[in-house]
Amino acid sequence: MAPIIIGLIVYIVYLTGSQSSAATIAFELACFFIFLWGTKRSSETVIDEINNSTWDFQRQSSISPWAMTWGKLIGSTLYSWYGTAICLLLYSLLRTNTSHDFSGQILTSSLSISQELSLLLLGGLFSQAIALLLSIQVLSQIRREKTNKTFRYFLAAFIIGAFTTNFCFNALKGYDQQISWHGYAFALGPFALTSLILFLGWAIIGLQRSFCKELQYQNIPWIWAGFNIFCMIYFSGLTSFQDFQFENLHFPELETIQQQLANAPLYTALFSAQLLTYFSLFTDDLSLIRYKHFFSRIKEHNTIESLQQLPWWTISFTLTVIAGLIAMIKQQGVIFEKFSPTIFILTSIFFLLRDIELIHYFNFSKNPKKALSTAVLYLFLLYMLLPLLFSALHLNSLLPLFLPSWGQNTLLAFIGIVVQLGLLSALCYKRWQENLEKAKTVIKTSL
Amino acid sequence: MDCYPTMIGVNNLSFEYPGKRALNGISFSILPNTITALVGPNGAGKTTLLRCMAALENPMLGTIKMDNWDTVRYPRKVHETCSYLSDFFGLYDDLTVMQSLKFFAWSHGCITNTDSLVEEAARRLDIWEYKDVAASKLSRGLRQRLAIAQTIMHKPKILLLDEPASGLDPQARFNLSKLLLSLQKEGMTLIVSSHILAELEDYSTHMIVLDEGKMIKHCALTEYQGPLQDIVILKVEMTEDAQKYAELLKSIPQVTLKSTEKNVAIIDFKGKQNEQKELLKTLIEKQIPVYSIQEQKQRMQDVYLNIAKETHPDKKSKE
Repeated sequence: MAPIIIGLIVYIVYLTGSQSSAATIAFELACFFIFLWGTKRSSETVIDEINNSTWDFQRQSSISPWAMTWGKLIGSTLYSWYGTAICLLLYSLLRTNTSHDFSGQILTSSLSISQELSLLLLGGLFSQAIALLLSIQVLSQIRREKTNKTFRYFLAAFIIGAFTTNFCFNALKGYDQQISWHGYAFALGPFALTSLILFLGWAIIGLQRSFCKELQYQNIPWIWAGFNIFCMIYFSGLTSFQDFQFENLHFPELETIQQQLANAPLYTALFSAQLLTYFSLFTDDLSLIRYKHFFSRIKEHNTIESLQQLPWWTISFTLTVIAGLIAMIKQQGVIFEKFSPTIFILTSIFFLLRDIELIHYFNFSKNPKKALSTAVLYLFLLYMLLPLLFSALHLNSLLPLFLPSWGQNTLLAFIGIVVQLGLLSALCYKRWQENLEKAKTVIKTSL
Repeated sequence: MDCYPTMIGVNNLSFEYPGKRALNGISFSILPNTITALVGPNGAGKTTLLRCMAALENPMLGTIKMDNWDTVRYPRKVHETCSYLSDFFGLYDDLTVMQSLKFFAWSHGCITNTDSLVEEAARRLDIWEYKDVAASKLSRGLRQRLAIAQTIMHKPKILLLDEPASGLDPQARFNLSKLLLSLQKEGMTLIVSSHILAELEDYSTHMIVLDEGKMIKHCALTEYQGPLQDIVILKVEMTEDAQKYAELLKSIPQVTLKSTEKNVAIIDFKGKQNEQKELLKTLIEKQIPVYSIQEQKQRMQDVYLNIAKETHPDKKSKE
């Protein structure tokens, strides 16, 4: 039915509009199949298996992680690719056989058909890979549920995939635009396309590793470490302004501003590592059981298996601290307009540590299913509502209690965050002890 | 024990769910070609134990070896060696019986002779006549049979079945018993978990009793000739009232008199099968008018209830 329906829609537009509008609708239908349908199917494929209790059969099969990666990524979205192929065939035919100007129409450009189709397919695959990747990160937590929903993974992947593809289309259109990356100039279009391919590669490697984990292979998370370092290098390269010149401008702080701009890549690297720490906190398994496994392996002096159980956030957080230390050393003594980079970096790292403890506290609860949503709610309260309330009450001097300080009220900032850290450490420890006591009680009862 | 090859070795296994220790220091070994009944009340840890053995969950402490493959270090080898059917299994509803079986054969790497494997598995489970029917259209019992067929498709060495008879009618249960016995004969080692002891009784050679995450008992049930079998129940038939010879029977060191009824005495005999001829000789020497000695299968229900009584003397058995 798909070819008939697609053909009819395009034909109706052709009859009522023009050949160029028919080509545009064919292109938009392809986008629908790739970014909406395909991404949705991709986000559902493994979760549906969990809901239908068929996933354990697949976990026990002899399918390799790579075969499963491609099977789930391409196989589950096969029908949407079929629809896409029909749409793109029509689009190619209509574009080839028209002399109409496509300017001003959605997503049409001066790009060649092959460029457009390649970019669309890469972008679609990226979107679908992200949806699948996000959905399988939570499997260990939802394995026993029967009514898992996937909309959030679909939505996140759709936004990331569609935005990236659109950015690449625009970048390729502006062939003469340049981008500076770590001081080297590149043409924007090929740079964007290369970036898309690289991130697609990481997504596929991430899928393979995730399927390895599902198939019970034990891996040391060096791929995650590699991805963190890649992101820190990649994104910091986009903010390298060391050659930036303020022409004909002379004011006392110019030198400090230039120094700050030169250090921008370090801040970006730090920020990337911080973001990845949050990402790992929201996707990796942070249950008490995982930590018990981890500490058991350490007790057994089993280094390899200890590293296999290592929570991802420890890697990202270590990189955050390293980036922070380098930035602090490089900017020692620098103060610009009361802004102290050292204090800002230190307090932001402490706040990240507080959030790590907070998220763990909820994950150590009796009902860890709601840990993430509760943590998000508390973080929203701590970073948004309370600062807004204190601002509204003209108590700006107390804001360092809730937001990283950049030099204002330093003493309060440090006392505040140290108290929060101490409190959360005590609460986490209490939950850990409660769990141990409970386990001991169970043992005694059973004896 | 060492002279017997172990098919499954579980050593000091512990497993936890958040806030609950599901398994606590379990150790046992299972010999090849046996059918072990895994019994225990709800929440005893039966399913968790099976999932750990199937390398679907990693134990917190301890090791499991399935056909000498460690489940943590070589999970894929364990997946090749053993097959696990969950109590809450699912099927691909859009696929027909034939397609489902083919899919499972392929996914287990059985690329050649797929058709014959499919037919063999389907015929064993009496679902060949439904080969073109979609899984969604099958009754509960037929779905169960299809799931079992999928599980034995690649002929694993070890089969772990969690409540396999639920949803089956009496005839299908009887056929399942026959199937499990034939799989055992072919060399497979099976562990079957169930609440229904009567159904396990038909085919089990051994029994493991779990309660609150601990192993309470691991014993042999039948004439199975293995190292676990050091006590057998014997039915001694006499030409006279057995009660008259009760004291004489009690005087034999390896014998514990369990009961007498008319001309029959039921005794526990501590010794291997080849020592039974010595027992017969002793009975004759003591002038007990014996004309037959038969090994009696322990009734699983009795064993289980005795264990439950010993474990929880203050309360009635949970099942």
